[in-house]
Amino acid sequence: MTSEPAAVAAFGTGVAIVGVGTTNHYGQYPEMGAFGMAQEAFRNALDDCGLTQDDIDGVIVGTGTGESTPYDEMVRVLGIKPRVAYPYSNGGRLFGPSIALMASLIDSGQCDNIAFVYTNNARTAHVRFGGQDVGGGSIHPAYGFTSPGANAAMEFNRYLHEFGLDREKLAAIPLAERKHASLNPMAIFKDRPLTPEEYAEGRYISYPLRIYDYCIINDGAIVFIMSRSDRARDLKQPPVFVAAASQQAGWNIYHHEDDFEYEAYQRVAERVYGAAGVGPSDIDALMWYDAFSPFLLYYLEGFGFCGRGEALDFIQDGRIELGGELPVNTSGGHLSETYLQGRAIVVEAVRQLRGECGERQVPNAQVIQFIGTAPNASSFILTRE
Amino acid sequence: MTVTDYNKPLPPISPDSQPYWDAAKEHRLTAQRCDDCEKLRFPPVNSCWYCLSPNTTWIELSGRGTVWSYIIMHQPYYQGFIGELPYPICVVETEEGLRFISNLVNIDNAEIEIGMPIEVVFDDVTDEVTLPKFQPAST
Repeated sequence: MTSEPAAVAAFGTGVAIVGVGTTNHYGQYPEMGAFGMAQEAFRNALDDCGLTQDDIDGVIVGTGTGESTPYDEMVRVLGIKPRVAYPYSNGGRLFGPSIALMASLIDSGQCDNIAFVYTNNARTAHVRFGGQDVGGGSIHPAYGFTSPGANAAMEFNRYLHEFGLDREKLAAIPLAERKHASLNPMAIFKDRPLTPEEYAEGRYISYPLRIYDYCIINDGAIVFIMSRSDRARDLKQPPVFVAAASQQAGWNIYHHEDDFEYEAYQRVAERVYGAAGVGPSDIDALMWYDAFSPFLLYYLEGFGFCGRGEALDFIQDGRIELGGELPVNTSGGHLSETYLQGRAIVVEAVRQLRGECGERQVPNAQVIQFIGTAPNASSFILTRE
Repeated sequence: MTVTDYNKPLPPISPDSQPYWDAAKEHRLTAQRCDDCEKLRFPPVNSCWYCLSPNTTWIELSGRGTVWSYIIMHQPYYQGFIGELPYPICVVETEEGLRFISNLVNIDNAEIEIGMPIEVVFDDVTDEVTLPKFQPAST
């Protein structure tokens, strides 16, 4: 008799994120290159947890969309001699899976303290996510169709049609995250409040999405360090456990599919909630991959926070704001804090679970979930003691 | 090489897609059909992605379909499209069930609706390349 693989990495309280570090600010970093930004974030992450360069025996290097940072050169400039070193795709979609990979390397005994290093100077490098450089093998540029955002807009318009919904209700998402950013000293849009009127008059990039529905493009670097929990307890910060992580490929926002990746998210939901022993009602805050506002709708439905076609109503009336039932991206997220392809919102999750978030602290946060975008639908659940 | 003032991106033509573009030049809309499982697929690729059979026949589509979804592009990503902003891009769902990106033509942006019937028209953009596009179906 054979059984299905569990398809979920379940670690309970065995693996912990012990340290997080970011560049000293986000935005533009003309004064140093992508390697220098990584060094700054690494220094801050080591300071955060009390580990030293010699303790880091595993590294995953996720090069950003700007200057290329090959992993071997990164290992040199970080001054480490890791037993395990992998280069990693810059794709934000692969960020969720990277957590499972790191935790698995710790859990299987291949290393004790692994760092994820991500650095991106996309702003300074003038990176664009649409236009001449993005053709690849696709026929889309011939029709003037380009950029991930245009794909998100195409899918969202179909979603509105499918469920007969009001496009303007989407405003609740960028408005909530801009409010959260106003409470975050690191947020790029900290001092740029957004009103419903401004949102409604915001220019379209690709109708039905407005500029406020798009993530920022900026520079910054993130490092976080994961360790075996028995070692983590001796470090400076309380451990944040990676309770469970899972992913599902095969559904794609670029393929004009009917179900808004619902089945992929359902599969991941079943696995991570099952392994972590929690459900949607236990989630104290949701950190989601907000490259574009509409993604949250598909996550909320796919993970069972609300029924199908109900997400635009679910997000109204402050429910996803701090103080609401399900605060999301309490840092301001990719829309208003910084776009570092999923990495910065994990720093926020860790800080929330440690209780370090000051004015934007979710009271007594104990369970925080991350959800990332198909084509690698992914999720992981972080907990504290 | 023909001299042309067409300054929009041209589609990449590969060994797999050459028959599609050859047919488009003849104003025929085509797609691959697997000889074994008989499923249609697009974009073109050597083998069937349902059953991995390499046995394929190019068939002609009816050219009729509906708007599955659309966007109106406002952002000037390509020099060649700037004069047409804001312009519509749709996902066509063909009668045969295939979905792919195209442009809607001969219609005002405000009149576009998801589900509306459309039909193919062929835009000979250069001597070498014809782009299938779609317009409201003639009744």
